[in-house]
Amino acid sequence: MTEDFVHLHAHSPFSFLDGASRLEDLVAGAAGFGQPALALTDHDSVAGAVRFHRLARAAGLKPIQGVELTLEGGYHLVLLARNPQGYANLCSILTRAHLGGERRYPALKLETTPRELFADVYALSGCRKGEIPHLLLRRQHGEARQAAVRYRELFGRGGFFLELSAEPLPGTRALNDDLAQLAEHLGVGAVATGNVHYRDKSCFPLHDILTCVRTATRLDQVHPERRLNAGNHLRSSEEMALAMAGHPRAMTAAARLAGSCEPVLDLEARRHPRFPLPPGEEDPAIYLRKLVEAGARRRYGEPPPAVVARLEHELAVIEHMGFADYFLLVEDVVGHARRQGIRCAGRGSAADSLVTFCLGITEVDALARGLLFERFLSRERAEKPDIDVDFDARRRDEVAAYVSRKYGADRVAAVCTYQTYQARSALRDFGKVMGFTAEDLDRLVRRVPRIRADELERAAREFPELKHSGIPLEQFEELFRACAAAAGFPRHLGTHLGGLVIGDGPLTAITPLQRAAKGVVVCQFDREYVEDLGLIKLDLLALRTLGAVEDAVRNIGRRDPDFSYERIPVDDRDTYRMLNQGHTVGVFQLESPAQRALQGRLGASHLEDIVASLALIRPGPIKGNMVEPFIARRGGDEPVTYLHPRLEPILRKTYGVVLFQEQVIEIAIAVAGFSPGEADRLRRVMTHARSSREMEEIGALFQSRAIACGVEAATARAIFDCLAGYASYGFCEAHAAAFATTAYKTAYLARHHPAEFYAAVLSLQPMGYYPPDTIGWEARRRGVTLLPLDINASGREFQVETIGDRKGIRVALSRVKGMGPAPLAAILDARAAGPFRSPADFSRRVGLERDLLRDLVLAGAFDRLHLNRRQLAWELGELAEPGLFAEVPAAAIPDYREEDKYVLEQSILGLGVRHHLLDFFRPALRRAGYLTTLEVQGMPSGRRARTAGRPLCPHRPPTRSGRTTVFLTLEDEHGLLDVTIFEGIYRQYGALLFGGPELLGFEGRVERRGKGNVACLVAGRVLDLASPAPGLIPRH
Amino acid sequence: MKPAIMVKCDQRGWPVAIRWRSRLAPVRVLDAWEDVGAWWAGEGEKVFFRVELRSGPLMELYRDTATGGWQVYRVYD
Repeated sequence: MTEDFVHLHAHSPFSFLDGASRLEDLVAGAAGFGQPALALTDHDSVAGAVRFHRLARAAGLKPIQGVELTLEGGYHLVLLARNPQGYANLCSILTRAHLGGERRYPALKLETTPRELFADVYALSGCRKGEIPHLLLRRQHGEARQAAVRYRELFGRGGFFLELSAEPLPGTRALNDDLAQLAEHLGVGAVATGNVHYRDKSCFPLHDILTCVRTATRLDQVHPERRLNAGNHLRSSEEMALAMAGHPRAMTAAARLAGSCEPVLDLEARRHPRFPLPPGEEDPAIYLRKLVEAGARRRYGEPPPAVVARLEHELAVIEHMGFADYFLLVEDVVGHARRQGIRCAGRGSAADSLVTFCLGITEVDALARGLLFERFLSRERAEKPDIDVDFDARRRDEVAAYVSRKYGADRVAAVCTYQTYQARSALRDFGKVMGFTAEDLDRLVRRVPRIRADELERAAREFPELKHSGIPLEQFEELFRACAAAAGFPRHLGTHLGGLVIGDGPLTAITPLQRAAKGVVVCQFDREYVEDLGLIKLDLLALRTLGAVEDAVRNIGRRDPDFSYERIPVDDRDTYRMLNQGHTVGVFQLESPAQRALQGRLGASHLEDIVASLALIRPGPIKGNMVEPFIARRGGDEPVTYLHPRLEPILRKTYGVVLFQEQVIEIAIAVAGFSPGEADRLRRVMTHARSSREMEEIGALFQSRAIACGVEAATARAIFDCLAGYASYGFCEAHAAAFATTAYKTAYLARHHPAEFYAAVLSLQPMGYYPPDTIGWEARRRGVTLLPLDINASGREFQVETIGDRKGIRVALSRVKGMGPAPLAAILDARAAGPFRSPADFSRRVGLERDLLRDLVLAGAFDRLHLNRRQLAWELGELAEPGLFAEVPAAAIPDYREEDKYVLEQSILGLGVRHHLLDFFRPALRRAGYLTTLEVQGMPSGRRARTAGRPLCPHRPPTRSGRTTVFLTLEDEHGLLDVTIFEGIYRQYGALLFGGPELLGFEGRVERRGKGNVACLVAGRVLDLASPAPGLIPRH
Repeated sequence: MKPAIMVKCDQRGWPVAIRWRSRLAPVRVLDAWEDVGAWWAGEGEKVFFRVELRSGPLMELYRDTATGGWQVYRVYD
């Protein structure tokens, strides 16, 4: 009989810090034991349901979906769904528990929960945290009996079971005997469970560490939540029988109960909402057609035949696949945003569609660009379309609220994300538990690149920034192993940045809802699982760049009412000249060090160059060594050739280089005669192929079809090899085209309206690659003055001020550390009645916390009212606490030195307002022979130079050779200089480059490359200037 | 270090008798549990038994799973 046992109480990592084995391992374990089913009962969550369902089915197990529910008062209760209706009830019950209580502390009020929700659900009395076991362990037998009667009434005699646990804890034997007796007395069933939290005993240390993270405990500290032993593993049926020796009937009862449960998920179902049609309209497909036709007339006047034919094709596919409602829904959302003046723009593969263009969702003319609709949507692929729309980040939530109002709050929720353990997060969490100090961990983590948690041991062996860091890495070996064991485990639930799920009915029939940070209601499934469940997802993304554009355009409009962002000329020479020099800090998508370097070499002269740029600086093209051929062909330094004449019309715009995913599809159509849908499938298979065998099979298919189309075998092979080398990293042209316009226009704003543009970029921080200090200096290099914080002039955001014929950007009050909305409003409200006449006047009119007041003083906010910051800081202390500093004679206090003020401003504002760090070291650097970046920029190729600055964005992109090359940007008071560090130098100085000092020196060779003739430095030596004492003596 | 004790076990490894005051005394297991101790400090798992001697005190014994040795943990007078 033992072989029929089924675990009815098992936790996965989706119990968030209370499950220490992957679902894959639990399922494999149960299947390996020959158990016919397994129940998943995570704490207050069914987030693992979809993955569990798939894994169990694949392993031949019956998935039983349940949950360990927290009740009001903290008691636990295990619920199992008997069937799909039971699952829907579980979701509703969980939603009540989550939304009815405090965030992160779900608790169900059993008494007020509608009885019908307990139908089709089995209840088990739970672990020792269950009410009945809890009372029995305290020898409150009468109360335990009363509780059991209550549960029996709620769930019915056949629906409630007392749970006998195999956990080897003190008192378990007596507890199980008591529970079995109670079950017999009340006429309810008793089932044996293992209260599984991991697959085998070897996982216990990880579970203990996770418990310590959850309870904020160190390993050497005691906490009641920590388990006494490793007895919560997945037991075989034989081991369970041994542990439950006195209760064999509870074993068979568990198997019987499992036998009466059905799988609950239907992953084939479609649950898309119907779009509420306006009066008089009855068919969404017809209504969509009307809107598209009207849009086509707006875009083209009388649409030419090619447009009509293309729209007809797209609409036929959309109608055939039943997605008319979805397109209407997106069109409606975008239309609403536009009516409200909320800046928005469609992105991604949706721009491959002419329908989305005509509906105003995207701004890319797919037909004019020759973009393939099938990259976006095809009958063969039969996948849901994915339309992503960016909105001004500050107003994106207004759009989400509109969707919620329109479709009903019970049908709309945010998609969740699972925040998983990566190297850095695991190090911080587990290191703390294992007793490492915050300082030690910080020192280590700063040097750890963004890698998976199971790559730490390798990184410690191989990466010089760790190997040569001076950190005793051998002391961290246990920690690295623990991190590896938890790699990818979900730690907690987060909110997807833009994803909204919209159901065709109340979502609680499919997913529990809970509250995330800022009160957002999220479902318990992420974007992948949401789609598996048949729900439609709408990506309303918050893009800060659009906010910056909005601010900049509004400010420019105040001065120049005729200015129109929409009418920015697309061929502005000055803008392209600026791009060619790589001066793109702050420019959307073109500001990364790699993009700046590319711009300096590419010599962009029209929008298509920007489209190509966006696709070129990706891991694939860099790794595939496609950047150089592209630049050479673009510059006419290399002939443009094609492997076959049929490739020419497809690859002409990219100089014979395969750059876009759409081109792979087109080539498969033109060369091998694939249908568009087949070709996209080929692209996807090539993209995701994991083995050389798979690739060979696809290659054989492609070649046989190409040969049948009259292409020579050798050429067919060569074309396939070219595609295969490319497909895994291809970039969607539609997406690049959708972003390129914004990239160009922000470049135009930076070039012609730097004050308004950089003020807006500073206000919208954090965004982009660079810290605000670098943005501020970029503005300054463009002739814009950065105006200091001023209690009578600074606003909520960075503002443009005119000083004579120059423009300045006034630092915002919101930059002050700790300046929340309330104190900011208090300051601005008080100032509305008139400027502050003195610090004392300010103190009288605005009641601020002392620390914030001090920071305002130290950051220079009162400089125009009081000349001595240090003295004022003391005086304000006196104002706050009269008499405290009475013995200090104020007049005797000297003000801070300029360098002290710089340090204070950096720490309080994150900005150096009057000085750059290098200002203070320049005299010493000069004496030591260091040139400025500007001087290096002016040197010819091949010359050796020594320069110094603040290293920004050090990174090591993948390379084709696999050898490491580090790129970073060096910033001084004059500008930026790109530095390249090849493998040998990186091996020697890696410890300085990542997590190293704030000030570095470099010696190396100047290289000038490309059309822009932009200089960079190839480093031969890195110098640690961390302790720039007088004389700046390098340590290396 | 707790005092060592000789224990006779059944097939499951549970004690059925112990040497107590120079005699082999039958015991009845009242409860059993496991304890991993300070695993991070290299401590091994222990299996504890609360046993009752037919004529003698109630006591707690444990088997150290690393060494297989038995120790008396506690004696209730």
